[in-house]
Amino acid sequence: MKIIISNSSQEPIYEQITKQFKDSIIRGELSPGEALPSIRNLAKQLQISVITTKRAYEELEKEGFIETVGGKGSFVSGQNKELLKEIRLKAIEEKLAEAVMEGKALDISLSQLQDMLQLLYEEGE
Amino acid sequence: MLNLVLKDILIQKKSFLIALIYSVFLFAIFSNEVFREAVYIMGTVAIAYIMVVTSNAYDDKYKSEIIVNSLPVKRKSVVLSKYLAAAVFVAVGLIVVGTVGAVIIIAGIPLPVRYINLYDTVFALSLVALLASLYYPLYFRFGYALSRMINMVLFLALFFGPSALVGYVRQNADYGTAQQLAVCLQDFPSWALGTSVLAAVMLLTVVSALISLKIYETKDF
Amino acid sequence: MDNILEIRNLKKDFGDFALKDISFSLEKGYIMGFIGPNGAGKSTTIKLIMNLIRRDAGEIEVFGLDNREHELTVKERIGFVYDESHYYEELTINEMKRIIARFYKQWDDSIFNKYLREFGLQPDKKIKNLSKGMKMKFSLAAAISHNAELIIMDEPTSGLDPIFRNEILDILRDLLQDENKGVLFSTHITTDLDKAADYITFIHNGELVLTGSKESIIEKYGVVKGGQELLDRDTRKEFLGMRETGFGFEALTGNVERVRKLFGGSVIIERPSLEDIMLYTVRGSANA
Repeated sequence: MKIIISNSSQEPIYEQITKQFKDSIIRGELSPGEALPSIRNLAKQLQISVITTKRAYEELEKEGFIETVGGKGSFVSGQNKELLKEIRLKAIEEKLAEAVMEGKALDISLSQLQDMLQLLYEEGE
Repeated sequence: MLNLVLKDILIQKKSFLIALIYSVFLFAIFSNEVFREAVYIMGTVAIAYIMVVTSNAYDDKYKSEIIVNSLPVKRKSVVLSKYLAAAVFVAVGLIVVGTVGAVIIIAGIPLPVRYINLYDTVFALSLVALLASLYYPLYFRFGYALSRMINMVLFLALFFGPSALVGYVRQNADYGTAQQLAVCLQDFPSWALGTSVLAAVMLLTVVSALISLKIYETKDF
Repeated sequence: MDNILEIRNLKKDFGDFALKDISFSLEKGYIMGFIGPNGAGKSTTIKLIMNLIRRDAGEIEVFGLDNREHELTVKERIGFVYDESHYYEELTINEMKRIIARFYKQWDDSIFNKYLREFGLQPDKKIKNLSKGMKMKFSLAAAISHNAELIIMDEPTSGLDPIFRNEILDILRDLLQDENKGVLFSTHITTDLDKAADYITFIHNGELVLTGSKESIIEKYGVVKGGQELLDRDTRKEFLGMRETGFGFEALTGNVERVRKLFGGSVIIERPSLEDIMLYTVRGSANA
């Protein structure tokens, strides 16, 4: 996987890292049980502080994306419900975003789009 | 501590060559009737002195005491190693001068030279101990440059002091007392005189080392 | 107690300069950047840690041990690099190494030789013939070849070009793959630390300005930019240091949240670099 850090972004570096890991996990680039690079190694490679990578991993752990086994390192969690939900939500979001983009390109207003969505939603029931 | 002494030797390998060349010159110039008794002592003291000053000069030039005192060494060891180094340098001096003297005799070079003896050894060691005892506290207190100047004065005082003292005694003390003292000293067996001089110098060295330790212990680099 | 270095209420008075009540600590496994302008007291602090200077008051513990009481044990486990070479320059690299190596029980020639090769240093070259960068590399090799746990560096990068500086930082990061080690790195070139440091301690005029993880500092501090009309006696007090121009002001705050509440959208708040923090603080204290 790739991780790209922007030093000029207003977004804190640890958040940039967590986000990119989450994306990779959701997209399935990192599969459950797969080992993440060690905190120190990642810091070294990204040329950032160990504290930053540590914090990023802590966030990921808190949100259930990874598990840390003392002395062995961190691994991608077996998928739990919340995580799966988030993954699906993410996928939906992406598709909606695509639709919105398409709509904007054709100068379709928000209310028109909302109508379309409502129609589709009700149709499915 | 031996590591520190070894360091003082290793940083001045050139001094050994200088000592050797110096010895050859020494015999060439001073092997006459006046100086023949003193030549080994003069040579040894000079070599030890050069080596002490050279090792301190390097320490001063690069402020290497900063490195030395950052290594796992106690300040106490740094101070004592300097005294020990002076003794080692005397040994170096004795070996170099003694060997050059012996070579001159064996090679049959026509100079009035005798072999080095115990008397030379004791005398040279005492003299260097005396000089070092005066020099080191000054060195540790005032640093290399200033101590060297003071040392020069000491050196001259040591050379000219005794004769000045004798002159003073001759002029001021009544002749009888002085003569009595001289006779008294003459009666003293030479081994006893040597031993007491050595003992006095050792005592002085111990006092000097204690003063140096005290000075160095509170020094800031 | 996992602090590799702990300094409490350290004081030293030289008459014309005094180190006043410095306290900070470094957990093992991390790099601490020790910053401040020239003459701030960085070298004095480092010399106090190395016991090259006698402290007037306070405590210094290295590996949990008093640095004077356990001087030998402590120094055996420290690797030091100073801003200038204090080695005997007439000696070759190898000769100097032999002198140093004898003092350390844990000296490892294979590590030293590995670094020599990596740095492109020739062992039979005299130290006085090395460039400043090369001397620094030799110092570094000598400092990390006895399995030191704490590396103390006093301005190791001053006068070196960015490529050298980056190499040194890479080596430190390599060392810190071992989480039992720690690095205290003093510098006035703070850009070296923007990337590498985990913790920052900033001193100025012999006084502690701030100490903490770089992340928390960068989050708490901010460079605020806005128009002159926002400044009055009260709002000025919010800033640690300021630069005013005909077009507006730029200032440093130590409390981004507060400034955000106070000024709302009328100012721009940027993440500060360590240099920003240092420059504005020094300027602020000069104006005060």
